[in-house]
Amino acid sequence: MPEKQRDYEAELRTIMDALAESVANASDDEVIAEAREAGKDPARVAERVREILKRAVIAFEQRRLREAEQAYERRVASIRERRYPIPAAADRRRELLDRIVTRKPELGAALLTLQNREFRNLTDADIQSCLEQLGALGVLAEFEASGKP
Amino acid sequence: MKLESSAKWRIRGLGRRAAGRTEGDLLGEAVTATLSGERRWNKTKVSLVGHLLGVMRSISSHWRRDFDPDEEPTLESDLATTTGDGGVLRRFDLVPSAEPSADRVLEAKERVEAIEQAFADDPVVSLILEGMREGMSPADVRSELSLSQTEYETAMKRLRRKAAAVATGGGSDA
Repeated sequence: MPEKQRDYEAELRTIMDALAESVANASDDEVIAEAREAGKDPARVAERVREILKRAVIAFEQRRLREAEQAYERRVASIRERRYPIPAAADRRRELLDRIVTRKPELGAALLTLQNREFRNLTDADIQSCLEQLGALGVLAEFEASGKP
Repeated sequence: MKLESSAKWRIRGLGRRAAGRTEGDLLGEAVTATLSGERRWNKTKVSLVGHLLGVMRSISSHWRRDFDPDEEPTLESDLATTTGDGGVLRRFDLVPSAEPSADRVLEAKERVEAIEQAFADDPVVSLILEGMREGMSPADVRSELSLSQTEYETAMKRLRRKAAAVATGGGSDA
């Protein structure tokens, strides 16, 4: 009967896995002695492992930061892509903002700096931007729903 | 030190399946998996080192399966399609063979035989290696040979020391 063909790859893997498992049960002194026998400096090995751990932590934190940035950018893009019921004419936009700030002075305080409270220094672009922000907050829909508050 | 040593053996066990990854990559991935919560560390039951050793075991096993996706067999009949001229296209014919290449087998053979040779005059380690060859787990080998935990670990220590010298390759020693 022919001898069963050996699977050397599987055998090697089993041996190496058993050796990896055996390290867990070895004492620190044994592992250090083995490193020395293999011509390694235990202090350098330990330093390298600490460096690997540190790099992995930093990479993970950076990944989380990148993910948070991407989520923020997606939210901002989504807000910018939305269309709000903003009047086409500049004087109507100024009038709408005036109405909102009069009715909701707390929003005016949050959006406008003191010198801009009278709107004199606000450009049309500033007003457009304010109205877009109010749209994102859902305020414009409220004014639109109630007609002319 | 244990982390580095264990990672080194895992990478050597993967051989070419490590696909160029080092013990540093394996350890780094174990840390990332822990930080992300993918692998939970039960602090009350195991030390951080013990936890990372377990995570590295699991990740290296995943890497091996990723390299050999045929461990989840796909039937060729599921993939065969009829061509426009009525012939049968066997998609397996288009895929490189998943069989281990001759040089991979030869490399593994040389390394296994070098280890066996190194322990030719050590009956306990030789028997442990034989048990492993039969596919027995370390616990089964120990039980089959009626070795105490200490006797087994002492033998494994001898195996680690010599194997480190004779079975290099498949990973970085740096």
